Amino acid sequence: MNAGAELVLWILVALTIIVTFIQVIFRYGLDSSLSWSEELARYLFVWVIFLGTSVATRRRQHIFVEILVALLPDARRVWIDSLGTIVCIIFFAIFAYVGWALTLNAWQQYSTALDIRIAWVYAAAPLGAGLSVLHLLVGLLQRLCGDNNRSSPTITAIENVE
Amino acid sequence: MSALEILVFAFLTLLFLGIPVAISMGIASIAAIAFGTNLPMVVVGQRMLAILDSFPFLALPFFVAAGMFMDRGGITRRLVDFAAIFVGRITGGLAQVLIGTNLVMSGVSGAATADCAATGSVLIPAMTRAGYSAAFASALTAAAATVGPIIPPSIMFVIYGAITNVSIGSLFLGGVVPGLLMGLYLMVAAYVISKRRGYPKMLTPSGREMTRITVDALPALIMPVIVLGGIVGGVFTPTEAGAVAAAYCFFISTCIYRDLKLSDVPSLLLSTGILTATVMLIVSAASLVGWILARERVPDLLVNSFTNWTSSPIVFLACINIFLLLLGFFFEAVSLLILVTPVIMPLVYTFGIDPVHFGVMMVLNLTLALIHPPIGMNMFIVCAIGKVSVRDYTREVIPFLIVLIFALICVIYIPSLVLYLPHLLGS
Repeated sequence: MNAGAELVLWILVALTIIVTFIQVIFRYGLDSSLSWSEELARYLFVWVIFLGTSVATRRRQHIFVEILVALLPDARRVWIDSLGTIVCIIFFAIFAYVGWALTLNAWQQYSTALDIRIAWVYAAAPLGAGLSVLHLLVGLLQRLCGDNNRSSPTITAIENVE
Repeated sequence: MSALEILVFAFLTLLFLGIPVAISMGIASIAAIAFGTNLPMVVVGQRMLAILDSFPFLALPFFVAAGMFMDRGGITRRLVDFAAIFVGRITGGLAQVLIGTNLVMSGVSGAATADCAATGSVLIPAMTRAGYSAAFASALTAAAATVGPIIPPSIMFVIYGAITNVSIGSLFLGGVVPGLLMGLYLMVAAYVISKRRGYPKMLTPSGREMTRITVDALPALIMPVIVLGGIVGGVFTPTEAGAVAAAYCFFISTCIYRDLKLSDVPSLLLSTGILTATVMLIVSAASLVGWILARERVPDLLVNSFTNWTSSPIVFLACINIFLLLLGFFFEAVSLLILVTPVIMPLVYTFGIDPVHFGVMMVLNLTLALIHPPIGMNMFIVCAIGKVSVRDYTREVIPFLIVLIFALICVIYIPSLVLYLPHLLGS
């Protein structure tokens, strides 16, 4: 499932680039403006954001402030870390719930250019948040069962950049 | 407690417990709405989703992807050779080349940290081999990469412009002169230090070599012309320029330079998607925070108390800049930009400061936090590449930090440095 989410994510990023690029090509190269491309790119972008959020949650790549946590001894840090995970679970659970409510609300609305249900766009929010909750729960259980092999966030960030 | 008290208290507590910035903002807002107001919880979803459906913000993943294709596509090496033609003969040639490379590369890529890793991995080893101290090489690499977010295209300008509805094209143009000024100051500082320590010059390439190097670098050099020219000339919007840049970089990295393998592309696009998501989640949560703050009349309050205290734009700008520099010790630049901008903008307009001028100044200010302890991301990257301790790094980075702060002061008090180009080209 993880590999699947990552596959879909990079394909969505590629599609937003391609759709917007085609928009320029059509306007200048072929002298006919597309009516649907900008809307499609925006909707794909919403999906990129929420799918990307769930992937970032699993990989622990969300941006955070390290300064006080770094001063704590390792033993305390594990507790703070579990507490933090629980806070994140609460946030994503609430967000998944309100996102789901909005999705249901929007079921009868249709977009202007593509004429698709707006609900399909909003659905990204509860899905991404729901997946994040799952990843966090799995991570929390693993940590409580003593599987403690995560590296420091700074190092991870540096590895990502490289 | 009022909604505002809950919001501020919960946000700061969660933030310092090491909880992600976006989630600290989200939970604090949820708590403020639940315990401080009678609003239904659905407004959380509405506020957070509304800002994401945005065409200007789409430029963010596009310029990130363009930069990633370039960095992986062998451009750094070619730009290093190209910069050596012009500044290699000066004392401390490689140090000058490093700055020159960054100036050109910022015109291609949009992110400071990616540029920093790309130039650092090529030039820090080269400089230590040539006799420079590793700490000096690392400090200069980090400092030179700060021109990245100022010289267009720039992800920070996209974010600022999308939040404030200020023209991203004008911001791009406004960044050109300040970015070159930063480069110039860094070159002077590097020259003085190199002269004193006797760092070497570089060998000059032959005329034939020069032609080959220039031709080789040309496809990369054209890119800023396409982006800026296209936006200024009204050919495309900044977002479309981003897509064109990404497509162009993909094309030259795979078909002309051929250093980028197709099998690398998925992982680069994946990183682009993750980076976009983490930044946009902060944007989204910050718009919720901003909405609550506006509801509690915080921006009005801020304007009133500030204007009662002083009416001088100069004092205001000095205060804001000192405030931002201090915040830079605790917060990462992009989150800070997203969080502070909406709160500060009413003040900026009240004091009659041009929003383009303010945007360039603010991004320049926040970028400085990338290179100093305790949390500067560029610092961590170059220390890892150069195998230098943070203490040695810090000693070497101080002169560069001073000249960059001097550049900031110039930008604060000489608005035409920023505004001349946008006005000249009428955007």
